[in-house]
Amino acid sequence: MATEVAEKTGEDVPVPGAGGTRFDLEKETELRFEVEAGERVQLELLTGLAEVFGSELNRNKKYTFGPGSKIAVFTWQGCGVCLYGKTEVAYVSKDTPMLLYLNTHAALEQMRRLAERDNERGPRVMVVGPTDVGKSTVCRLLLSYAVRLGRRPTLVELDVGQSGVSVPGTMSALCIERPADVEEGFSVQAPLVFHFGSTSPGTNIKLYNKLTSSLAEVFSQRCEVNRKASVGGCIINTCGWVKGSGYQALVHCASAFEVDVVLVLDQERLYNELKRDLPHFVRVVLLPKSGGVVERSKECRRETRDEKIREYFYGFRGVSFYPHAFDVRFSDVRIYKIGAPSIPDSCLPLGMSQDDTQLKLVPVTPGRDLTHHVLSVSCAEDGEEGSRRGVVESPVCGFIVVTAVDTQAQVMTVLSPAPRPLPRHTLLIMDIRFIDLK
Amino acid sequence: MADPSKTDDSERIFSELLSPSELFAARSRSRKLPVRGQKDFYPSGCTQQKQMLQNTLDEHWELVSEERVERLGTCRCSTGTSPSPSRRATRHSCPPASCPSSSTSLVPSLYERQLNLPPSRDRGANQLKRKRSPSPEATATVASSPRPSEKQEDSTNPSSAQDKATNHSQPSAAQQAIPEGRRPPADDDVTGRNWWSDGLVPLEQHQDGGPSHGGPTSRWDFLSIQFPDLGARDTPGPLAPPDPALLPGAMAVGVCSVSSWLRRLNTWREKQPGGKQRRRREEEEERARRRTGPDREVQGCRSWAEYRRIMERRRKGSRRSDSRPAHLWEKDVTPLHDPRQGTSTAELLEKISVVKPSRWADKSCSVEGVGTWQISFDVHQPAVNTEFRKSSPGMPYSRMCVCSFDGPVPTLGELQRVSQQSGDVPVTMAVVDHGDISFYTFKHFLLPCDLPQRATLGATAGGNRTLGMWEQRTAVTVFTLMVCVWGGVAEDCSYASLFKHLNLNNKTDSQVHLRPVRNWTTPTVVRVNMVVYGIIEVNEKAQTFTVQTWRSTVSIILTTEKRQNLIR
Repeated sequence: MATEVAEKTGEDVPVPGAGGTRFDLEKETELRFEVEAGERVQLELLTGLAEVFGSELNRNKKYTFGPGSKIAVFTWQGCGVCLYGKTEVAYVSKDTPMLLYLNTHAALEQMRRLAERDNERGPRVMVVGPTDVGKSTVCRLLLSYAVRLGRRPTLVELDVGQSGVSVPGTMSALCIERPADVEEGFSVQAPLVFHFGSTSPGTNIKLYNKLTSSLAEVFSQRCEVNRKASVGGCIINTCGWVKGSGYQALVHCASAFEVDVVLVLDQERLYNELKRDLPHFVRVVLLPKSGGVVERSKECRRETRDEKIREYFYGFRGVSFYPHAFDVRFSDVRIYKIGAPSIPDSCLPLGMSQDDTQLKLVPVTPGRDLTHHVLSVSCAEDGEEGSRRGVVESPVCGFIVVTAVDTQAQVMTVLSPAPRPLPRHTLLIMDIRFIDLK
Repeated sequence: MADPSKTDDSERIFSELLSPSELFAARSRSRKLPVRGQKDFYPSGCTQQKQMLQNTLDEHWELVSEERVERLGTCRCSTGTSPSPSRRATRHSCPPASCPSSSTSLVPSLYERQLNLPPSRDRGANQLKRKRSPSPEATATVASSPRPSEKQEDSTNPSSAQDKATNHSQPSAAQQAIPEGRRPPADDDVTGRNWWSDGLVPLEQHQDGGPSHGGPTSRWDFLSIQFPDLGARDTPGPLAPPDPALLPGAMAVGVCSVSSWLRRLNTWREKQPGGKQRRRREEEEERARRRTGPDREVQGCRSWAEYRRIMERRRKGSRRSDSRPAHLWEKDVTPLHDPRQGTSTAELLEKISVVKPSRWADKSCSVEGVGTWQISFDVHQPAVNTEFRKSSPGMPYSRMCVCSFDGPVPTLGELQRVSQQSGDVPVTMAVVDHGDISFYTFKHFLLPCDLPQRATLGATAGGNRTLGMWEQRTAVTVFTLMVCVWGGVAEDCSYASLFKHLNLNNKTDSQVHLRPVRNWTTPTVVRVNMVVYGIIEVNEKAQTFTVQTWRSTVSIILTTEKRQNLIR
């Protein structure tokens, strides 16, 4: 690496013939670029070593990034990369907190080693912070580093708005077995997904906490039987809601998962509060956010959500999967919504409290307004009324989208990743809609 | 040991006479304090759990009572920073080690005073020497019979008071010595086991080497594991490069300077718009925090299970106070119904009902009122009844009932009895009020309903053809009367109930083709309401069109005279 000529950073040196822009990065610097809307950008590593959010780049392989992607190429040793295509911005920055993140990883790795030696469970880390500070990126980074050292950490995704594992409106856990793909992210194989039904935890905080507990319980069970998973620990990605009930949900999550380390990104107030409210044996760490973090607008978030659902049905970039469309009779399925609409306490029957309604299963009469809604197919056994109890806490086996409803014939047409019949007949409705246009 | 049962005593003596090897074998069995799974400690109320808890408690007590014999030894095995044996003895009742409330238990017990513990200052020096002493020697020291020399020493030792004093001053020092995040050596099993395997595991190594591990929590020694924590302002020193073995791939990573980031964090905070507001909010928060004080209970808990128990308790407490406000429930007069007991509306109405429902033909009504109300005389009209003779007066025009204004209002039962006596002739009540006489009588009265004959039918069935109204001052009675008539006669006046009453439905074949008349010559007017709902089809050639009509329920109307016939 030392022999490489470190050119002036930020200077664009066009590579003749290729039509690309060459960047030469010094040691411990970062190339950040955003892809323009409607464009694609290709990235190629020419010399040296570099990584994108913890996943190493192959030399002379062209990676394609779709419109709207925001990518940071970091190098520990120095490298030369080339970008082809239209970028909105592309610049090299020396100011990265990567070294701090790497030190965090080193500390976690130390804990894993101790856990391995003492036959204990590994570190359970919760990453918290307000919106747009790079929580998911830090999670991805730490997971990639851990998995590159042969660990098997678990990603627990509690961000219902921007889930990195499954479609939005779900809470999930995924065992990481290989570093994230540079383009696609972590390969999603057999994740554990719970239905939440909305993109904001505030709509049903009771359910959110309950599902957090369920996830923690399942994860603990896995740790008991799987030694590697136990040592690898977990990294919990949380929502950006850090006030009021959102903060309470964070504390609840910490106690449900029995976390050892809490990484607070870029908010000292949250750091101090957590330090005060969590027991002394929990290590709370304040980390800065990266300067490259971009604030996302509401539209951008919505688009990402849509993209995620499309990816579920059609595969990455809509090319790998071919979903099925078929009719489902209303009489064959039972559709529920979790949580009755909240009413003032004075209207409740005597002896009832608001909590009871939030976890209640409310049957939904199939109708025209079902169109375009995303439905989760619950894993709960199809049974009569008695089995309804477990529906809320049972995981989801898949998702379907209602594309059309025929009230006359009492059937609806659904988009499903698998051919008919549906594996289960208990469906849970989400607030999220998906219009299958492309 | 002061054990009351004799068999135990003999056993103990017997065990004391065992050879050292046997004793060692007996003693070195698993010393682990029986800890069930964390989840078992959520009380579920089942007997199995109770049993298990009881077993655990018993085993705990057994171990604790056994250990007192080896107090000296175990005490020496604990770390130098928290040496008080009484603290360890009380730990079973689970006060957190860093909690100052446990400082009260630092007063040496009677037993300890007898043991003549050395002052804590020279304990460190003592430790090495004493530790090597073979265990059987210590076991031979029976608690109930301490060596006289020790006793003597105790009484003569001038430093015993000082000992106490140092013990008292200990907790703060011990608290400071225990680093935050590091679990104080707590479990008896760790130290106990060490003591027994004294020759095998060097004690110092266990104390110094790595984090203590044994409980489910705080297993990490965060002093040796360094996190780049920007929040801890007092450690701005640059982070040493991490061990290359911990890093993914070959990375030559240099020193990480935290201070530059720290500076950035600060400037960023000052640049925040609305800084003043923010600062004020923070100040408020700070004040609130000072008011409530740091949450000692939470800070002091040693495991997540304990933490969750605290939270659960708090939540329960708050809920209880919410549901039962003190100003309602803590006084002599409490609400009639506890809202936590969900009941049906009917039950609740039953509970609060003051007026009990009664019926026209109820026994209680008809039995009472024997003789206070009776017919005083008959009135015959001269013009109408020409055939009047004293021997056979004929039907009177009316029958009079004379009563005083001050007297009671007649009950329903009495009214019924009087009207029965009177037969077909109406009864007139003459109420005398200081010389004024007012007459009250029953008059014909039709119940307001959409189907006239229904009400009349009902009245006939009730056996009272002359339904009247008791006017003026008996408003309450009239109201009750109304209720009784309604309750006794008609459920409602809908068509459905009429058909039901007449037993007219498609299933009773015998009546489907019958008109509800007594005499077949009586005409029945049947009205059918038809509304054209829409024209479905027009056939121009045939000059016809098909319509869709909406037919209302058939209503049967009988003319007034005919109705009279029908009733008779």
